[in-house]
Amino acid sequence: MTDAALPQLWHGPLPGRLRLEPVDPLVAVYDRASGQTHVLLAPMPQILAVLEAGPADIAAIEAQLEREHGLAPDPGNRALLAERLEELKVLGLVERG
Amino acid sequence: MSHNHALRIGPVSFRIRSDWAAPIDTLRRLYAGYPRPAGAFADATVRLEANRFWRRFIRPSVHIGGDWTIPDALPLPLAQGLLAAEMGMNLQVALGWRRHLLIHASAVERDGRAVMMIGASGSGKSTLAALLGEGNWRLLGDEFALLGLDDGMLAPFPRLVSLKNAAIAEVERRVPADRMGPLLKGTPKGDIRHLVPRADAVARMEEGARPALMLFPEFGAPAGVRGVGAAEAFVRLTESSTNYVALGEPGFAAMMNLVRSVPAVAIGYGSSEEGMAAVEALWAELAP
Repeated sequence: MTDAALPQLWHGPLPGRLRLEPVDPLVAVYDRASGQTHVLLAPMPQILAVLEAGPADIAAIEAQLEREHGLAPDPGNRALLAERLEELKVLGLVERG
Repeated sequence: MSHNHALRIGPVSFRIRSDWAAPIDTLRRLYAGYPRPAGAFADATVRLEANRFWRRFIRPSVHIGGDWTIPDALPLPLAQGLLAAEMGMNLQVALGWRRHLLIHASAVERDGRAVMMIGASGSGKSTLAALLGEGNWRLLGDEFALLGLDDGMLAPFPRLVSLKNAAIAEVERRVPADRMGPLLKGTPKGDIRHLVPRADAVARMEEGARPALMLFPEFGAPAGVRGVGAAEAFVRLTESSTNYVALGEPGFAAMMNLVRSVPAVAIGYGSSEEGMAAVEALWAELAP
């Protein structure tokens, strides 16, 4: 099995690192590790909430988001979720590995 | 020979040193009603230095120094020494102050409750605050709102009001000449004239006020009022703060509390009268 074939796990921040404060319609996130403030829109805070419970691969994240938020499964969901995960990675809020 | 003057504005004590007597003499006159700092040490030091020693004799020009400096700050002609002192005082507070969350905003108070006016240069926030402060409002400050990290109260910071261009004539005709500084023509920001806040603003500068309304004035925009949600207010306020990042989580918490507890609106207006009327109308709608 090559590395590329392994399901890639996404890791969220350790408990207590982020302070999330909803200010409708956004969620302001204070990152205690970096001192940075991020302003996030759905589904970013929801992705962070899924990963709070532990690392997960993209299929598991997608399934949980669909279940918790009553979203209809859609072939396009996976690609959008992958984009959002990459954006959270750029912000330093999630890691892949 | 060094000239200097020490004074306190709200919670901030300043020491201003200058290579020349003239800017210090002007500051002494304009800040005559302000107290001296209690201790020997100032929170912020501003130095007005000769660009080069011999420039004092040939073409005097002022370089702003202090605890914090901006390396490429313009040297100003000596005739604008007062402006240099004011810019230096602003800079020291903007970059060095940690005891409050600093928001680029003017503020006025009535009955213990404050209206904050948040906006970039040209939004009209200084002019509106100056004019309201000549009526039945108390001026808290024209440039920085100092928000308490623990109590969410605004600490007054009533420094000289910096009036620019058209605002100068508007205020000149309402206040006695002895409350105006010299007209500084052709500065990097256009014409500038400083206004000494009314005596009540200085006498009551220990007395804080609770924020009750946040206004985002837009001078020249079509007249009207638009509600600003907490999320937009949060983003605009963090952009308007000079020390938000430096304060870390206490700054985040204070900002969050402010945007959640205080209503915010944007107002477009085409004249000072229109702007002042809009503030009064919005104030009247707020139940105390």
